[in-house]
Amino acid sequence: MKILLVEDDKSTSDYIAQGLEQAGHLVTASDNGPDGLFHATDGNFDVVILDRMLPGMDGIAIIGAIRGAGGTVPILMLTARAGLEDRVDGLDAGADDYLVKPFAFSELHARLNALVRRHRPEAAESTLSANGIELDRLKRLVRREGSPVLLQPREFSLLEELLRNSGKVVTRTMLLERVWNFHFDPKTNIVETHISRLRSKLNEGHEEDAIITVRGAGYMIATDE
Amino acid sequence: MNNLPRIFKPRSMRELALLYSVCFMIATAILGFAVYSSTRDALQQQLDSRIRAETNDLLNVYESDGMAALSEEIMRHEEQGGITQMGYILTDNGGKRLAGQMQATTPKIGWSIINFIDEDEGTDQARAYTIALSNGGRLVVIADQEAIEEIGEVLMQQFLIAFVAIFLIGVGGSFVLTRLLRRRLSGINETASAIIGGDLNQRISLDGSRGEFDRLSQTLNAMLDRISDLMDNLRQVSGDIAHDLRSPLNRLRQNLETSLSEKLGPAEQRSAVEAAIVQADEMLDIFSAILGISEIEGGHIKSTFKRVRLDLIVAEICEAYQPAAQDAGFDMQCEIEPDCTITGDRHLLGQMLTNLLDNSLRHAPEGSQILVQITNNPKEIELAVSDNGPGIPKERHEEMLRRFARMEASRTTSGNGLGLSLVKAIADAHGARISLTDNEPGLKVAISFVPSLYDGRLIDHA
Repeated sequence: MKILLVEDDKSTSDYIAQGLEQAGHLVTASDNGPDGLFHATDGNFDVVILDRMLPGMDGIAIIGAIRGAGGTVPILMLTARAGLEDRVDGLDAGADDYLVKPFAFSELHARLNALVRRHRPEAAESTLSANGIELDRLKRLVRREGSPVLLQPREFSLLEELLRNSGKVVTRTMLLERVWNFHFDPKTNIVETHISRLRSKLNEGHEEDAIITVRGAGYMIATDE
Repeated sequence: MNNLPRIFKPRSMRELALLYSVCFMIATAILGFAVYSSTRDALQQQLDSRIRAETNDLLNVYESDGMAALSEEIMRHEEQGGITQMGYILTDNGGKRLAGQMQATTPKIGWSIINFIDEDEGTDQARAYTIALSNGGRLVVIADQEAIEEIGEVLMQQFLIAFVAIFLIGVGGSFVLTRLLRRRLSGINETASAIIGGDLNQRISLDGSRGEFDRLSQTLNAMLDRISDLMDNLRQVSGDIAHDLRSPLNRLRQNLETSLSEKLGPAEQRSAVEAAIVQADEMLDIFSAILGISEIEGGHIKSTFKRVRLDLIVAEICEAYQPAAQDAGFDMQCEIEPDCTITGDRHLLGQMLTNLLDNSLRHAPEGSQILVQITNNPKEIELAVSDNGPGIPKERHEEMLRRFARMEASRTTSGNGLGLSLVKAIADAHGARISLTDNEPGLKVAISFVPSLYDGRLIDHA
């Protein structure tokens, strides 16, 4: 992926750029607002990582300028403040996702993957499938290797989110936000519980584990080989 | 008000008192002038009517007894003198004086002011009334105006004295008033200076009179009490933050030190670093909880409130939690009454309930019952979470709502003691009442909301 990183804090910027390059992405880094805006409208990036507070130009203003110029590149906003209004501001201005600092690199990576994937047109398809698991969003049916699996509504949404990002890690926080609409972190392991129920329903009569747990990062469903 | 001259905008008590006495002096002068002129008019009228009465008496004598009798009557009056103190001139048709000793020329017919020569004072002015007699003679009755002038002078003097007295009282009063005020205010001033100097325990002394100054002092003292409470709270919170961060920081340091040890294999090093990350996250959790509470207590969040269905929010969270509670060996039940509409923020309300559930799941032993109830009454909507775990002793219920409050027994378990204070902050922001009661056994936390009436806004289902 070609990624534009606009972040004025050198150590944060280096940390993100290094991680993304190690993961095989092409990173262009910029440390101020006007340069960032120039690259965002000029270059052909798959995704933009944008800090909320920047010298020269505020992150919100940059989003406004990109969207105003007709740019549709997915934007992930980084913010140091977790305030509710802050998040709403960013999303209202046209950001596609946000991440509160400090964050784990795995969380950022998972979100970037999900953003780019969501941005592609196949997201609108009515059926999702990966690794022998098929999910029909209209009929609300799930099959593994052709045999039907009965799921609770919440387990269905959980599987849908994992399938949409098949081959990529989906973090616990992303699942809380997308499946439960929880923008806070409950101390009780509700994600783990639902994943374990979903897993046991999917695995019934199969040897291979349908859901891969990535330690310290999240969950994943493998792509078709 | 801004265009008024400087003098009408007194900035000190002295200026105010001076302005007040100047106004009072002007009022006195106006009053003095009015009294003086009306008294003078009244006396003048009285004098005129006395002259007219005297003239009529003499005219009667002339008409009944003739000129000679009139001359005699005039002479008799002059001899008697006394109270009337009038002067007379009687002339025949040729202008020759027949009677009257007044040293003046005969004036024209009617009212006039004449000059006459007084034996004691020389030339003086007098009021004269002249009539023509039927034989062509003239009768003049004259009264000295001296009495009126004297009374006028006395009046003027009196008012001048009053004027000066008022001026002195005004100026003196303004000094006395200023001193009195200064003494009262200096008490307040000294207390304020002492507080600025750092002694927050200073209070303004009261005199028990319940007067304006006393009430002002009471209000200021109450304000100081509140500030001092807040400062204490802040001090306690900073102390608690330092205390609560010290242990995870210590463990973090130990883990990092361990990971540097060369005796460890890569796997052990990795687990030491992972443990360090867990401790760092623990501290970040504490900070984000503190920031969250501050943001909610800041009150700004209220402007984003919408109408929400609390029963639906509760149902969603129950649905999310029930499997987890079940797997952890709890018996969790939810009793939900429909159509509970309140004004609020769905994320905060969700966070409030998850905090309460997290608390119950953490502190109640396995196998405990957890009950979530939402009851819809016309006047209040109550959300209650109760468990039959160990609970909290009644006398500590208040304290548990404060930041960092934790039962000693739970100091060793996970959690940062901010859960219930976050719940309280959210309840406060929603204007809800929070109460902790003994569930016999266990703890029941109940939050009572005011139902939201339909006000044209749609319900936020987002």
